[in-house]
Amino acid sequence: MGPLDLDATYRQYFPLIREKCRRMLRDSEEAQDVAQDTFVRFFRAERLSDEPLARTAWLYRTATRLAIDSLRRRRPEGPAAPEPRAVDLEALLSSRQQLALLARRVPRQELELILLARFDGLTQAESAEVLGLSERTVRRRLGGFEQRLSRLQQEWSR
Amino acid sequence: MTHPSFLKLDRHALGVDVPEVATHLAGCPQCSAHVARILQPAPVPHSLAAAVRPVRSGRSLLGWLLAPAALVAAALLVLLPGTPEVRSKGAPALAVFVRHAEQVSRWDGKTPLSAGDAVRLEVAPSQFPYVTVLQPGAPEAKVLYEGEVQAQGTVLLPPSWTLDGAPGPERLTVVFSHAALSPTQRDQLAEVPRTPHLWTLPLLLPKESPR
Repeated sequence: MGPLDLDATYRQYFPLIREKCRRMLRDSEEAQDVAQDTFVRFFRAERLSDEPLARTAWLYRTATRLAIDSLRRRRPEGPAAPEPRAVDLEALLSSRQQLALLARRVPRQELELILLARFDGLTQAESAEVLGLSERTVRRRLGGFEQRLSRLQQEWSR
Repeated sequence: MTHPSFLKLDRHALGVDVPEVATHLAGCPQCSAHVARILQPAPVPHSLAAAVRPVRSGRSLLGWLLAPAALVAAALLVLLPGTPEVRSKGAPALAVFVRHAEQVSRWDGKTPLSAGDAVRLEVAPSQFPYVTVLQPGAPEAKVLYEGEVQAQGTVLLPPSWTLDGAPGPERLTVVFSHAALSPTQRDQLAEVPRTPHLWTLPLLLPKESPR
């Protein structure tokens, strides 16, 4: 694959990756970094030879996982890391800092599904396809997340 | 109105035939705007080719703003694709990127670095999902970085460290583990550098003597 292919690939695919990262991270600069990382892996892995559905599934899967890495690396803003005051999932996901706290308390496998469902609007069937899982496994992991969130909500509301 | 998932919208934008999306887009300005953003070609960064070049070719990937860069094998313990002669299968590995002035250059593992040079690490955790970078010292090692990483493939650690003008080499210890290290584990690294649960790579960065 030559340089022309590289440029064309970037022009075509980078906007999709960038927008997905922005939805997940709520931070333009951080999203740009994660999107660049995703694109580099995409190109290096020569995923262009995949079928289009597999190609987009790979992009979604990889960008989601790299975004989780980035969320977990986020340092608290300010001198102290406050415990979440909002115990509602929507509120947790809408705050950069609380999303980072959630990311550190929730296993990766569950968090992937939450990001795909809440930020990308994926159905369980679509999430299963993107992550290479059965729908039954998706349901089981989402059930595990609901229980975990309930425990966290109790902890944070004390 | 129920919107299609972004996955469906993106697939449609890339030319995959998704009939219900085409119908939906005709009546949804919000989703149409998203597809328009996806179809807007992204400007290509100046050094994109250097960024995507495989690590084994000795060039950097990203992070340092797509600057021309190179890969460094750090001492003999550094193991990465492209140095198969020293790679132990399944062992964690790391590579060092050094930025001198505005150049990110290949370090041979021996050439002294200069005060002001910035160092950044790329690691191949090889199944260890946690990385800690320590600066050995008394009474205890200083934690320069710790965090979870993708256990597969390579990961460029976020921070960079600028070398000071103090005499003597810089020493770093990179520890791959299954979880965050406890203070006790950190204290015992010199005696127990490798177990089934952690793997230590010492890194010695020689510096030029100040004039």
